[in-house]
Amino acid sequence: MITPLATPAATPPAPAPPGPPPWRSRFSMKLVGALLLAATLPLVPALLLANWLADSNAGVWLAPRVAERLSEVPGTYQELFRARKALYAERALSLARGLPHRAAAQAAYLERAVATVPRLQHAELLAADGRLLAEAERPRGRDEEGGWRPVPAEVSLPGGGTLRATFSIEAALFAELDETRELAETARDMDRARGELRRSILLVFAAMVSVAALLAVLIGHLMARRTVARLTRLAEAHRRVAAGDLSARVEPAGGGDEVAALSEGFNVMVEEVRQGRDRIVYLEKISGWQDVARRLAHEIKNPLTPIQLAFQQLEARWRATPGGDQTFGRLLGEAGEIVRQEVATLQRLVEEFSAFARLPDVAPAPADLGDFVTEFVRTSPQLGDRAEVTVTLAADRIPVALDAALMRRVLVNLTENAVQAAGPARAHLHLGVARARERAVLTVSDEGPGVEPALRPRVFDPYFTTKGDGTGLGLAIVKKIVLQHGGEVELGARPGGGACFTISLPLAGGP
Amino acid sequence: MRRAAANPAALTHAAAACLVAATLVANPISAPALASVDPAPLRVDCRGEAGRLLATVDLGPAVDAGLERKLGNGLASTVRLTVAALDPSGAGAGGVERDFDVRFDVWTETFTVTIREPGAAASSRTVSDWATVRRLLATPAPFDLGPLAALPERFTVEARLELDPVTGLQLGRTRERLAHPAGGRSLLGSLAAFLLRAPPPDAERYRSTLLTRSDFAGGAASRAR
Ligand SMILES: Nc1ncnc2c1ncn2[C@@H]1O[C@H](COP(=O)(O)OP(=O)(O)OP(=O)(O)O)[C@@H](O)[C@H]1O
Ligand SMILES: [Mg+2]
Repeated sequence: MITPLATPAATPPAPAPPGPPPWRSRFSMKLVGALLLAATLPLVPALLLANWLADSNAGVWLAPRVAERLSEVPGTYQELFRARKALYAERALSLARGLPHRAAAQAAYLERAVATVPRLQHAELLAADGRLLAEAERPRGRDEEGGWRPVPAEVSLPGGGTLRATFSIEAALFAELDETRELAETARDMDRARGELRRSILLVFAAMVSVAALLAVLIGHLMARRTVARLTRLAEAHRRVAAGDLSARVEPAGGGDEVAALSEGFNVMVEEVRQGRDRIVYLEKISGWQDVARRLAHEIKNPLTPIQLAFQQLEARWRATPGGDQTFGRLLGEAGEIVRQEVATLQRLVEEFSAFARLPDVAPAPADLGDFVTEFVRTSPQLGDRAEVTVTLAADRIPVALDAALMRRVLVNLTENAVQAAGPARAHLHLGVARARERAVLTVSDEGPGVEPALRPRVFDPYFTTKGDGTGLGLAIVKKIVLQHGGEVELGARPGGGACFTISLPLAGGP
Repeated sequence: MRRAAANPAALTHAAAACLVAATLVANPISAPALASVDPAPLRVDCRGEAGRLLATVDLGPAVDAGLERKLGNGLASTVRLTVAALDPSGAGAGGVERDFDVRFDVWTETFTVTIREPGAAASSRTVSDWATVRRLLATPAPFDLGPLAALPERFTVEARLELDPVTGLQLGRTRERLAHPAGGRSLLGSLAAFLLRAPPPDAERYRSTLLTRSDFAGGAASRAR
């Protein structure tokens, strides 16, 4: 299985199916339907209430009884006026009865009458032929405030002639009457138009309520549209993931509601899927390369012994034949040196290749990451000879499940690289152990030249090397072992210069 | 989002429909049962004159004690009398309208009757007894029902008597009252005033028996019960 080598991480995403998926319209229809129901349902009781209010208002203010009672009020005034008229006629009559016969006394009688008889304004005595015999007028005084209306009363005298008395009645009564009449007429008009009034008031209410409902629906619709849009984006991302594009992500905007949580969960899930897939792809790739390494080691190793043997025979034969050509002897000696050196290099290569090919499976055992790193430093004296090592441990224990032998290999490869990167100078190595985001994190950084960003994605590829005598297998082995531990390894830059490898491993069991 | 964006219009319509339905359910705006009562019989004297039909109606049965009480209550009232010639099925529009404004003055105890008819000068009379008013109303001057030629061959005469019809003036006053309750101006009141319609007429109807047009061609007079 060498094929996956050629392709890095992702397969290209399949083209998305065209047009909106059917769920989308159904969802927004449901949402809008619910909003519509929510907005219109309260209208029914509201309208019933309005109807009742209109009815009861009309009942109080526009009851037929109100109009009826009011229309009877002028009749009451009529009674009052009649009583007044009768009273004044009575007074005029008694005035006539008391009239003195002597003509000389009549004027004084009338004068006295206007002064004493209540409400009598004017009195005149006419002879049978209409001649004015005597007349008296009440002096304008306090009685007249507020306005008065004249009420004439005439009495025919027994001996011919007429007594004409003018009484007064309060003008205010007439004003009151007019006002009442107007009111009664209004009530009557309103009563006639009562049904229509109720209808128009209800229509106004209905209009108000519709405006409110319309606003509610509109606002609700806008809000729903936002949610639908976010769900649409989520669904779109889902489709892309289903089509194989694991780089799809959703913006979890929207302020911590369920949709945002869903989006966030989706992102986490897709990220995990992506890492899992990357891991599988990488491991497949490595196993392909391991195959190649095994075959190569085999093919190279086999001819090495015959080459060595053949050359040893040649040298033995030369030594057994004394007195030969000295130049040839020297040449043979040099050639022998070269052959031995190259064969040794090839043998070392073969060893490394077959070591890479035979990389065993991880057999994890519970351990503390801090202890493991301390132990590594303590048992690697050659490291201390070539580098300044600083170890930063976490305050508490960090339980992990690891294969100590293979993990040791990881640290060896990483520290080896750091030492090599420092060149002839003494390397400065920083080992760190920490717990971050429910992961155990091991960092190996140095103060060397680091790796430029463009090269960083390739350093874990097998056979990638910038060194003349390097195999480029060191980091590939590192990554394979880390992945088999269920972890990830990343190369970054150390702040202040240098490379920084970060290995994160899953925490084992409880704290 | 295209679909969702297309929805508000449909939505608004649906809301409006719901609202109208709810309004109808909650508010039985019943058109009053018009013309559900059969008209009472009408005595009418018809006469052809210069090719026109003149009808003298007898509304004696209508001008009763109840009407006397209503017209004598001291308020200004209007009796609207409409006389029309209808074809046998009862169809036929228009008719001649005559308003009697009656007002009883509780101080002077007299009736003032003003008779108004479109196209004629108003005449006003002040009388002191109900009998005269009754006569004026029960046997009004003949109504000119238009050219005989325009009438169907067989027709009936219908008289409609309406007490205090809601006139445009009254409607205007009611609207004003709605729009300006307690002095100030009310927006909702204005809206209600805008939506206020004239109530349907509420008239007592009297109808004659069938008459034949040709009977009046020669200026003949006919009486129908
Ligand atoms: N700490 C480091 N500083 C700078 N460059 C580094 C560091 N570690 C690795 N590299 C770069 O990554 C390359 C790959 O490293 P890797 O360990 O896989 O192979 P190698 O070291 O070149 O060969 P080998 O491990 O067989 O000696 C290196 O050649 C080097 O360019
Ligand atoms: Mg290396």
